[in-house]
Amino acid sequence: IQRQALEVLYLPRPSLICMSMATSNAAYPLKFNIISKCGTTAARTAKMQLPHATVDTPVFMPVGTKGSLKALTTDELSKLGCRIMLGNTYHLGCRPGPEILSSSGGLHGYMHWPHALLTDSGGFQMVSLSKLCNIDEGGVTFTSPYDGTELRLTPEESIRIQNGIGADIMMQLDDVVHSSTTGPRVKEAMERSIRWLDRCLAANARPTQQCLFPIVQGGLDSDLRIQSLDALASRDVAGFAIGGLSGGEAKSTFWRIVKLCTERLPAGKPRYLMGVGLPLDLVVCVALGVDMFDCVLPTRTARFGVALVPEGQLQLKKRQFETDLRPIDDRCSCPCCTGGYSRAYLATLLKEDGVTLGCSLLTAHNVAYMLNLMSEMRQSLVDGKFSEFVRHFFRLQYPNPTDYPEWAVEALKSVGVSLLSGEDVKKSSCNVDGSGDVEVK
Amino acid sequence: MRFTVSASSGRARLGHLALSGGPDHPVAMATPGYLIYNRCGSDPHLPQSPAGILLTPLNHWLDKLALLRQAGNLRQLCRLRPDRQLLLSLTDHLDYYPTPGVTAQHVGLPTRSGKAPLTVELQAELTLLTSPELVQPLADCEIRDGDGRKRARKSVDRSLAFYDRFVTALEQQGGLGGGGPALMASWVGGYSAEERLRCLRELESRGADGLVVEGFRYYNQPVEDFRLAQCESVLTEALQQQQRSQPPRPLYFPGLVHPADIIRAAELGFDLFDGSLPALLTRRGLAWLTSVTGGSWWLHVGDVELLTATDRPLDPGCCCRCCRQFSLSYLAHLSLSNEILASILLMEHNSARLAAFFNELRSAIGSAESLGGLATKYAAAVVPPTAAVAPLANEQARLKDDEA
Repeated sequence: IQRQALEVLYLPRPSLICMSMATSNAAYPLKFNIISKCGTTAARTAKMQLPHATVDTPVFMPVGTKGSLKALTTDELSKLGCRIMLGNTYHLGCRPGPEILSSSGGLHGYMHWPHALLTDSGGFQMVSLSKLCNIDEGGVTFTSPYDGTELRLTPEESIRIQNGIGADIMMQLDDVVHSSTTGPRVKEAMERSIRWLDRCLAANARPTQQCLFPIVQGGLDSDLRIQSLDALASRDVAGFAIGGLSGGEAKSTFWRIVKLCTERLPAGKPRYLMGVGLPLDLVVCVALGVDMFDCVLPTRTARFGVALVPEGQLQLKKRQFETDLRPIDDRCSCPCCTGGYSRAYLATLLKEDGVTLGCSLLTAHNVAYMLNLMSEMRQSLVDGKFSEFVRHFFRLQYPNPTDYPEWAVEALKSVGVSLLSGEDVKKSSCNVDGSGDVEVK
Repeated sequence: MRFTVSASSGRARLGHLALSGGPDHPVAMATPGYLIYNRCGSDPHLPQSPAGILLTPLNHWLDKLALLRQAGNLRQLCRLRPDRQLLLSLTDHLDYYPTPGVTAQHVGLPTRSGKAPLTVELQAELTLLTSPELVQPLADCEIRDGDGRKRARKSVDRSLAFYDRFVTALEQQGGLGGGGPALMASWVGGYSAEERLRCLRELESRGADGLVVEGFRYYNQPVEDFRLAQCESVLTEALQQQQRSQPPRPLYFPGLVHPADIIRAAELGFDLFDGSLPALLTRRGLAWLTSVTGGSWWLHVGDVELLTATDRPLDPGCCCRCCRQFSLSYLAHLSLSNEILASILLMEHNSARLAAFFNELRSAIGSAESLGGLATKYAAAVVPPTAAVAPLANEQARLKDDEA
C-alpha cells in the first residue's frame, strides 16, 4: 500500500477546502491509465488521475484566461461535466500575481474551482502580445501590457509564477517561434527550449503536487522535431505537449507533424496538442493519437454570437435567425437547448448591452458541445466503433463528400480510416513532406 | 390583482400585492416593494432570475415586433417561469428618457433603432401577445423644463383619452374581464398641482386598478440626477387634497433610484418602485455595502488597491453568493480584467442588497420613529454622479480586450 502524504490547504473562505495528494513513491502527481485503444487508428481513451480530479481522455480543456470562463460560473462549468480547465500564466502573473494567488490557496481557491487546472508558461502571449520582446539564453525581456514596465520572464520565474498559481499541470517555458518562421532561428529555439526545460524541471518547488510537461518544438521541420522529441522523451516527465502548431500553417503539414510527434512520444503518457482547435481538428488529432486539447473557440465564438452544432456553426446575429424559434440543437442536452431558448431569442439577448443571459447560455452550449464531442469519441473507443464515429462526424459536417477537406482525408487514411470508401485501410507511414505509400485494404 | 393594506404609519403603509399567475403559481409581494428591472425578459448581468413581477417596458420590444408576432407569446419566447409575472410599462426609466413625440394618435417611444410610434391598437395587440398581469396604458408622459399649466392640461387630456380608448380596444379584443390585466394608469399633469389633482380624480372615477407616477423627470435628465425633492411639493399637495381610495390602489413611482428618495416616497404613501438600482450600480462597478465603510455606502470594485484584499469578501455583512464564495481581491481582479463574471457577481450582491433594504423599510413602517430613524440612516445614500466613477467596461470594450 502506498504511503500517502495529505496536504490540506486552508483557504480564506471556510466553505472550500482544497486537498492535494502527494504520493511518496511516484515521481509526479499524474497517473495515466489507458482504458481502450482503437484497433485501427492511434486513438485511445484513458483515465488521467490528477491531484484535483480524475480526467477522462481524450479531453478538451476550456480556457479561463484570467481566472474566469466568460459569463459562466465555476458551478455551471462543473455541471457541464468539465473537470480540467486552463488558466493563463502571462495574464495571471501580471495581475493579480503569484503572491496574491498563493495566499488565496492558488488559483483553485481564488476562483473557487475544485477540479483540475492546467497553466501554460506565458511564453506564447509574451511573444504575441508584448510590444517589445527580446529573447536571450537567460530568458525573455518584454513590456508589461498592464503598465508598460519592462519585465523579465525566465524559466525559473515562469515556474515560480506557476507554482503560485498551483495548477495540477504546468508547462515549461519554451522559446516560442511562429510556425511560419524558417531558417536557423527554428533550430536555435528548439535547442534552447530543451535547455530551458531542464531549468524548469529544476525550478519546480512543488514536484509532488504539480507536474510539468515539456513542449515539443522544431517548427515544421521533421528533423528538428525528431531531435526535440528524442531529447524530451528521455526526460522523466509526466506527459508531453506539442507546441508550435495552430499558427495558421498549412493543414497538410500540420497533421504530418502531429503524427510524427505522437508516433515517437511514449505511448503510456498523455500527449497535449496546444491551442487546437476546431471540432474537425480534434477528431482528426484524436485519431492521430492526441489526448488533450485546449482552445478559446467555444468561449470566444459565443461572445460573437456563434453557436457550435454538429453540422458546423450558426451565426445567430444574422438576419436569417431573427424569427427562428427553434433551439440551437434539439439533440443537445445543455441548459440552453433543454431550457427551450430559441435562436431568435438568443440573438435578441446577445444584442442587448448589459444583458449577460445570452452570452452565458451560448457559452454553456458551446462548451457543452465540445465536451460532448469528446465524450462521444471516448465512448466510441470503448465500444470499438471509433472509425464509424469519425465517418458519421464528417457526414454531419459535410453532407457532400467532395467537400471533405483533403488534409483530413489524408490524415485519417494514414491511420487506417478511409472517409471516402467507408472502409478501414491499411495504415501507412507518411512523411512530413507527403511522400510515402497508402494502401487500401 | 388584489392589493390589501395591513398597517400604516402616517401615509406610509404596509401592503400585499397578489397576482394570479395561474392557479398553481400565485405571485405575491409585500409592499413597499420593487419590480424586477429587466430587458427583454432577462435581468441585466444576471443569468439566474428571481421570482417576482418583471418590469417590462414596451420600448424594448417595439423594434422586435416581427419576432413577437412570430412567437405569439412573449412568456413562451422568453421562457418565463410561472413565478415571474409582468407589468407591461411604456418606457425603460433607467436608460431611456420619456422622449418628445406625442400626438393625439400615438406616443413615440425610444428604441435602439430610434423612435417608434405606439398606438392604442398596437398596445392592445401587444398586451394580448405578452399576457401581463398588469399593464400601463398609453399616456402622454412628456415633460420639459419650463412647461406650464397649458402643457400639463394637454398631457392629462391626452392621457385620459388614451386610457379610455385602450380600455375599449382591450374589451373589443377580448382582453379584459376576469382574466385580463389590471390597469396601472399614468398619473400625469406636469408640475401643476391642479392638473395633478384633476388627473388623480379622473383616474379614480374610471376605476383604475393602480397608478404610475409619470411626467416629472425632464426628457434630458439622467436618472441619477432626478431627485424626489424636485417634485415632492406638487405630489404632496395633490395627495393631501385627495382622499385615499377605497379599496386601496397600489401607487408605483418609477425612476427613483436613490435609497434616500425611496424611503421618502414610502413615507408619502408610495408602494412600488422600479428596482433598477442594482443594474445602475453594477454597470458602473459600484457595490452597495450593508453599512457605511470609509465614509461611503458605495465601493468601486475596479480598484487595484483591492487586489490585496484576499482575506475578506466584498461585504462581510452580506450572505449573497459573491460574498460567501469569493474574496474582494478576486472581484477586483475580475473587474479590472473586464470579465463578464465581475458584473454577474456584483449584480448578485447589489440585488441581494436591494432586497435587504426593502426588508428594512417594511420593518420600519410600524412606527414613525423607526421610519424617521431609517431616513436618517440612509440620508447620505445617494448614488454618486456618473462622471465621478468609471463604469465597468461594456461589451464592445470587452470584445476588443479579448486576446488569443
